[in-house]
Amino acid sequence: MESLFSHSDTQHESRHVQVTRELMPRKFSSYGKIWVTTLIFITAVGLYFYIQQIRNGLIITGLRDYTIWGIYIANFVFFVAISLVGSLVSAILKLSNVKWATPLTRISEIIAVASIMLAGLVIIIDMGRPDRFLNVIIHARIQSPITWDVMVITTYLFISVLLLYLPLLPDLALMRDQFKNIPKWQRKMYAIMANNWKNTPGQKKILNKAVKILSVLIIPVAFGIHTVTSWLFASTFRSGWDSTNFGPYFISGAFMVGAAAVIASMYIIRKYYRYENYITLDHFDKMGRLLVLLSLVYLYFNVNEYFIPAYKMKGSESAHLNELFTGIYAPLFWSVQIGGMLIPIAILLFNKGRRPTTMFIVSIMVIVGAWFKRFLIVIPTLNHPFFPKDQAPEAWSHYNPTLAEWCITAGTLAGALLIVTLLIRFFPVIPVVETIEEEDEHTDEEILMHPTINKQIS
Amino acid sequence: MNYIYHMAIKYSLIKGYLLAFILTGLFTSAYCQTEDASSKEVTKKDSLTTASSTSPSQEKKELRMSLNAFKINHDLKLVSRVRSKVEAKFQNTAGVEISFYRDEVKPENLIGKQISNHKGEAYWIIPLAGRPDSMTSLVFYSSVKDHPDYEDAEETVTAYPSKMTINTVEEDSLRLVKIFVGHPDEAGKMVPLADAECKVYVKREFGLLEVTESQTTDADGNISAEFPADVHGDESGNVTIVAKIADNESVGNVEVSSTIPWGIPTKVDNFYSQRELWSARSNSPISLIIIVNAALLLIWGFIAYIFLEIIRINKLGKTN
Amino acid sequence: MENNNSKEDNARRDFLKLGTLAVAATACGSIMCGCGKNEAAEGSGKKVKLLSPDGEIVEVDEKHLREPADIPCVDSKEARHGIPNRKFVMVVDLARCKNARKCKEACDKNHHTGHQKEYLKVLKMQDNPVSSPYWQPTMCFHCDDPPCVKVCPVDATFKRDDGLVLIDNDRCIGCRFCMAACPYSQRVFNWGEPETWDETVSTCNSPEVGGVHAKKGTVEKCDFCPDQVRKDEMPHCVTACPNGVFYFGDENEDAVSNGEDTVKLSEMLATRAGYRALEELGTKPRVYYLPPVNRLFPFKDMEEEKQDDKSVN
Repeated sequence: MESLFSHSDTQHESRHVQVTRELMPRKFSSYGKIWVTTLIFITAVGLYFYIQQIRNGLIITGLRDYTIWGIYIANFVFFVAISLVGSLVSAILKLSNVKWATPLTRISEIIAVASIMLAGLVIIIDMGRPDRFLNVIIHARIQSPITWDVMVITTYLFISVLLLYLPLLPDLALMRDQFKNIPKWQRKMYAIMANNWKNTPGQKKILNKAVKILSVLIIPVAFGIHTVTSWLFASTFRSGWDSTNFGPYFISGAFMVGAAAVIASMYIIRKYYRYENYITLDHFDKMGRLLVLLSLVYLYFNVNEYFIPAYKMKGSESAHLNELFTGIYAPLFWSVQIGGMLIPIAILLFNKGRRPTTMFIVSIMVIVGAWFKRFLIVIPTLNHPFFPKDQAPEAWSHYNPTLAEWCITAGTLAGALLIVTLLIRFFPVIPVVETIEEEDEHTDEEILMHPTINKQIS
Repeated sequence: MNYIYHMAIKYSLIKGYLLAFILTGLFTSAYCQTEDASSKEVTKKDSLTTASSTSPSQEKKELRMSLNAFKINHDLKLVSRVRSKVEAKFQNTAGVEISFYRDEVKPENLIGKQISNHKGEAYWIIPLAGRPDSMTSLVFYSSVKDHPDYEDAEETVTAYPSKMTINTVEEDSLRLVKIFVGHPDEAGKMVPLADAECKVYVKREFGLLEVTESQTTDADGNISAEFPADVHGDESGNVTIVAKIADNESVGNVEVSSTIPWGIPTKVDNFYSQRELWSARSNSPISLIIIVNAALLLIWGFIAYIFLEIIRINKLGKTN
Repeated sequence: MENNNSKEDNARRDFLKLGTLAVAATACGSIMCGCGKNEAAEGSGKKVKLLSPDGEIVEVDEKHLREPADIPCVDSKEARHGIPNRKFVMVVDLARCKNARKCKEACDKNHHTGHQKEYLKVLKMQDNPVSSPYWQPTMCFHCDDPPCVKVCPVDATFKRDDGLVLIDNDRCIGCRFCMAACPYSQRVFNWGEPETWDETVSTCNSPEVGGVHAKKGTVEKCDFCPDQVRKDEMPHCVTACPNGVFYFGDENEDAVSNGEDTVKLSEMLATRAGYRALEELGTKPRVYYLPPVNRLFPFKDMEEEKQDDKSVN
């Protein structure tokens, strides 16, 4: 039988076995079971309220004729933002030959796939007539940013899935060949998914080329999804949305929250699977540096987004800006800006701040801040239409999300985590073959004096 | 256009219960009688519910009625309007059946019936074509009787004959609208009507637009008005010019019209077929179609290629 | 004529037996049957005999005799293309508006809207802290560069040849992007199940009868009452206004009418400084305002108005 590794001599083999054993997906521990049960429960509650929403309409939400978009849309933007991490780690870092990012590529692709799927789902949840979803394709109007969004999200989903799947092929083959004590369906699944992978040079050549093409392709598409998403707002006249800064502002924010999401998940995975040897302190340090860089870029766009309009205080914008700076949204606005951006930057600038536990807390702050930042982008603007709205019922003037909305939103977040958890349960979260080969190359460099080891298998 | 009758209105109000036993419907077929019987039941029910829901004394509401006659080209138009009190104010009343009679309110003189619209108006158009020379005055009545909710009301109008013509001439690049108004003298001969105030309009979608200052006829019954150059017409520039005399002592309401291509032709630039960002999907801007499809083809071309490569990987695995 | 007096019935039968005026009676009878049974649509185009003023029988086309009771439903293609060769336009004279709200009442009644859903609002506007406030009736402006239509992903809202912007609520997916795009906040949404409409009012279901067939989860707005326009009537707000605030007409004809006066549109806008709301946004509204100068009524707030009503009563 052919080996799935380039180096299959006895010197490497014991190490291969050890790495393989450590990195193969495992059954849930009792913590894992509690985690999954909780997620399923939250998702089920969300589903229950969504059924209520289908039955009664969006009347069960806090949305009314002035605040027409609420936390569903904020949540949608959040999911789209997080999904950009896939392109960041597995494309941008990979293309710039950053080797240390190898253990992080799969987790970031998993996060990307899960969140882009949920983004598509959340936008359907926000629709008044989900039963007519197919109209978006049947009657598509090419002039509408929503049509562009549908196109680009579908494309991004396909590319992300491919970018998750293709580098998985060697690992799938490994599981197909080495996993024996697993249920039949699981073996069958691995066998089919492994797509006859035999690690032949021809196959490897094709795979490398395909991954390279996808890595290049995903970058414009990733910029596309979030830019188009920002255009859903920027293409209107509303104060606070009518901004030419919105595309880069959204993308920089997305990279920041995406990096934070990767940090948070690598911390949890490292703890849960005891992957200290694979996800090292060095990884945290480097991700910390990356996050602080991305946060500084985002800070720069925030200054552009808020300072210059506030400097001018244009009549139509002033009510909106004042409400954010000193009005009812001020506590949330400043908590998000300070707690979700400035404090993380300050902590991460220090070496001590880039330790796993600190970074985990910081990244959670960034993620929570990012979610509420989307809330602040979507909702306060709608409070300030051009024409007075004093005749509208009192309850309409301020949007308060209802329990149903919160539960549905929590359900989608839980759903995303559930997808991530299940993917990690069945597929190695750290690329096994890739890790082994990189390790081999590393050791080869050290023992370059021993040419006999280099025995290639054709 | 030459022979037109003009009526003078005589306005009076006869109200109450004078004509207690006048039939308001004429039916000749058994079909109509049975139909009538069924609708009678409905009316009965209606009147019962109305009675119980309105006032306990079953008092009927006062109905104010007006009747006017308008001579419009070859037709005589009778317009009757009913108003009743709603919230302490007289307001137009819809849904009341109004009968029109000639000469006298009796069944054989019934001209027709109409139900008042939301403006409280019912009208009846009587074509006068074919009997142009009649010099006799005509008397018409409108009446509402035995309505479950309203008191009876009756109204009359007298229409006197008259003559009005409209001519359009172009003299030395001047466009003139020439109008003649005549009425019968005591001997029954048509003579010019002097000092009649006449206005010239063009017909528009929702009313008449005055295009000249109001003028009065001279001793020969003539008016000559200059037609302005900035009036919009239809696609071929046609406009309908209307000359109108209102509430004149001798001739009443008279109106004649003539259509002539004196207007500025309308340029029809249709919105629907424009290729703009707001157009329908069938009329998307070409540049946008090209850009979006090119981007889609390019990216999906690569994705399709990747799928082919996955199949190639599979095949390579089999042969080994 | 539907009298339940048996004496009258007998009298009528006797009368009929006499057979006098048989021909005239045939004519009138047939018309009346049509009248009473609301079968006018069926009979349109038919020739009927009629008693003329001189007692003669003349034959005329039936549709000549009365206004068309029910115009046939427009099909979806016609509803999307609009009324040919027309470009509807509205002028709102702010100097005449005293917030009588008859426009809103008529609108709400005919579109089945109300407190929670309004096609027409009378807004209290104040341009700066010093100048006096004024009332501004506000409805969909049917823009010529409609931002709402631009963003619709499914062609549910569209711009017609006659200038109207309408909504096909069988197509709408309820994404509410158009509502976000409209700078005038004129679009409304059926958040829940809309109140059911009396089907007898209009059996036609087309974008031309806004509000009549409201559907859950879809967007609605002022539609300039094209069903009225097809009957040669003006929109409900125009006819209901007691102060002649609203002028409606066809830009191609360069004329607008408020029901009483018909005026030259271009002249009115030129001499009375007509303007459009938020002109700087480039939406090109089809509704013009005449500034609230030389007002007919002093400005009264809603509260003052209520107190005045009480003191009158």
